[in-house]
Amino acid sequence: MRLKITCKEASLLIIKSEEHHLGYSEKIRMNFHLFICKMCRLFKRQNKILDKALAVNNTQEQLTVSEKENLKELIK
Amino acid sequence: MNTIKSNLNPELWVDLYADSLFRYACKRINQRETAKELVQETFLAALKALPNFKGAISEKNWLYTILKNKIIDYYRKKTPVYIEDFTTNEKEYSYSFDDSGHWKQEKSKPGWIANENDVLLNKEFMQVLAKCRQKLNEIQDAVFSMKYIDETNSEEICKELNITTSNYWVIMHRAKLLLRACIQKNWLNEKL
Repeated sequence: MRLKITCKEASLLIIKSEEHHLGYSEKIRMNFHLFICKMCRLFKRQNKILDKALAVNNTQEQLTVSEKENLKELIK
Repeated sequence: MNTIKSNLNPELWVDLYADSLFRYACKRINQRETAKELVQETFLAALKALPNFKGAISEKNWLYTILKNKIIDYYRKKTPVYIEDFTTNEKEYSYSFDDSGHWKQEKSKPGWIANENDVLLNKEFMQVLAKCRQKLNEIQDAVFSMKYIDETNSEEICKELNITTSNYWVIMHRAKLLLRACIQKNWLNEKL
């Protein structure tokens, strides 16, 4: 088993781990990498923040009055 | 039969449901015009299917079901084009990583970080994120909507969009890297 992985590989494992998709050996590799890599530790935190923030989508979009009138015409 | 039919009032649909259906679509599709078209198509499809309406669900739920299917169809239509691109194009990674797979260091400023617990209250951050989201392509957007808005699990998403698990992870990986880099570039994190 290759223990050392790159940050590119580690970042993917970090994303996978949030969705509980890591096998045993992947988990070991990721944790080993996190132990030695500050940037990936940061990415892990950023990923968590993104996950939380992305779950919110307060769209401000609205239909205009004329758009609604058009819709009404259409389904008359 | 007549009593069931009388539960449907197409002439009231726009007033009763257009706003909420449109918001529902906008949350899941990043393009206003497309969202509007899908709502329009939903009404038209419902009108056409009027004689078949069995009354098993409410008018409102019925319209939502039609819209949901329209959205999934729209996602599906977009998928094959981008999957092709994704599996062949490695270039996008070079934005974040050097040739040996290490992070490209941003020397000018430290990596961004926000407080996980109150990030939703952080207006500037959320605005930057919303802007950055616009940069995602349609398939990334579709996966994100299904995952984050509808809380669909990855297996289900793969099935719905007809993509492989490894496609899914590539899509997620690149989308997250893109957002991370975009926030790094555009969000002034004064606390650091």
